[in-house]
Amino acid sequence: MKLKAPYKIIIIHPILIIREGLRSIISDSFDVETIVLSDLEELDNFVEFKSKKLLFIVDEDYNHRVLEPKIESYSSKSKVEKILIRQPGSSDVGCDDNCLCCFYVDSKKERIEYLLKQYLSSNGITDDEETRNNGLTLRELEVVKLIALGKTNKEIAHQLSISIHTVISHRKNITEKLGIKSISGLTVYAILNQLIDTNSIDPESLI
Amino acid sequence: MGLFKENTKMADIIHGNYLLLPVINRFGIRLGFKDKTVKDVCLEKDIDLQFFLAIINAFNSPEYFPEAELRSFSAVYIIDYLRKSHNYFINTSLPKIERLLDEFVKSSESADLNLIRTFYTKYKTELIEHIHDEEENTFPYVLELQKAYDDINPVPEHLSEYSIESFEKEHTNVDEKLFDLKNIIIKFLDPTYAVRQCNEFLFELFNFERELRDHARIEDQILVPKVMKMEDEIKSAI
Repeated sequence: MKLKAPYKIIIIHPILIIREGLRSIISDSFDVETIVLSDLEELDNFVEFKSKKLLFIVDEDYNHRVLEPKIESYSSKSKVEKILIRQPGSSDVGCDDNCLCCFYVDSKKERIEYLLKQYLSSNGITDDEETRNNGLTLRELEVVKLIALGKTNKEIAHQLSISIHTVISHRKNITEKLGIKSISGLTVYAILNQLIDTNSIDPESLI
Repeated sequence: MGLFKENTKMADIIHGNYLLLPVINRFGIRLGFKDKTVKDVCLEKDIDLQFFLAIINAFNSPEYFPEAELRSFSAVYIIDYLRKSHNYFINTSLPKIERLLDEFVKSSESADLNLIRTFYTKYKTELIEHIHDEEENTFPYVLELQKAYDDINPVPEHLSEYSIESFEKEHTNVDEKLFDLKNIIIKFLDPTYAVRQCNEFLFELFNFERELRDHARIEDQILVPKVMKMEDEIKSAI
C-alpha cells in the first residue's frame, strides 16, 4: 500500500544508475511525483514548481555555491528540503545542518525507505495516522486535547457524547501508549504535538 | 561489597559508594576523615551508631532492609534524618536542577523548552507543598506520638483524631509528574535540542528521582509502619 505525500521530489545526479535506482525505490513505496535530472543546469528549465513542498535529493559533489542559490530560489513559494547522496566513507561524518539527512551510495533500500517515510510523513501526510500520533487513535487525540484544555471527565464525556466510563477508559489507554500520567504532562504533550491552537490560547497558562 | 560495620573506615565507604556522600553529610559528617572508622565519627559527632549503620547499609544495598530493626529506632532519629533530607532537596538538589534547566532553556530558541520549564515549576510547587505538609503536620504528630508512647501517656487531645494513613497516598502523585517530565524529554523532544545541556539536566533528574525514591523508602517502609504500630498499641492500651 503506497503512501501518498503532497511533495514533489527532485533527484539530481550525474550517474544514471543512481538516479534511476532512487526513482525506483521511491516509486515502490510512495505515490509521489518525482522528477529526475542529470545535472544542475537542467533545473533552470523549471522556473517554479507548483508543489508547496519540495524535496531535493542531490549529489553531494555539487558545488555548494552553485547548488544553494538554485535550490533557495524556490523557497519563496515552497517549503524546500534537501537530502544529499554521498559516497561511502565520505570524510564528513554525518550531514551538515542544511540537509535533512544523507543517503549513501551503498545504503540499503530499507534505510532509504525508512528515512523517506519519516520525512514525508512528519510533514503531515501519512496514511498511517497512528504512527504520526504516537499510536493514539483520532478519538484518543480528541480526549488529550480536551484534557489539555482543562476539561473534567464529565465535560469531556458531554462534549464527545460518550459515557464517563468510556472517557476513563480512553485516558487509561492514552497513559499506557504515551507513558504520561499527569494532566500537566498530557497538556505539555498536546502543545508539543500541536493539538492545541497556540494562536488563540497561551500555552503556558494551560500547564 | 558486604555490609558496613562499626570498624569500617569512612574513607572506604566513600570509595565504595560515593553516592553515600550526601547521606553522611546529613549526619553532619564531612570529608577529610583520614583513617577514622564509623565508630570514631559517631562518637565524635554524637550520632547513634546502630542507626547510622542501618541507614548507610540500607542505602548501599537495596536488598538490605531489616525492617524490624529499622523500625525499632526512636522516631526522633528517623524524623531528624528525614528533615535533613528535605533540607538537602530544597537547598541543594532543586537549585542544581534549576540551574541546569536554565542552561538548557537558554541553549535553544525553541518555545518547547519554555513549556518544559513551566511544567517543572508546577512539579516543584507540588513537591515543596508536600514537603511542607510533612514538616508542619506529619512530623510533629509523629514526635508527639513517640513521646506519648515512651512516657506511656495518652496522646494529646488535639492529635487524637489524626492518623498516619492519609500520609501514604501523597507520594505517588508527586512522583508521577517527575516521571512524566523525564518521559517527555526522552520521547517527545524535537531533535534540534542542545545535547550537552539537555543531558546534564536529564542526568540530574534521574539522580534526583533516585534520591527521592530512597527517601520515600525510609518514610513508607520504616516510619509509617512504625507509627501505625505505635498508634495501635496506644489505642489498645486505652
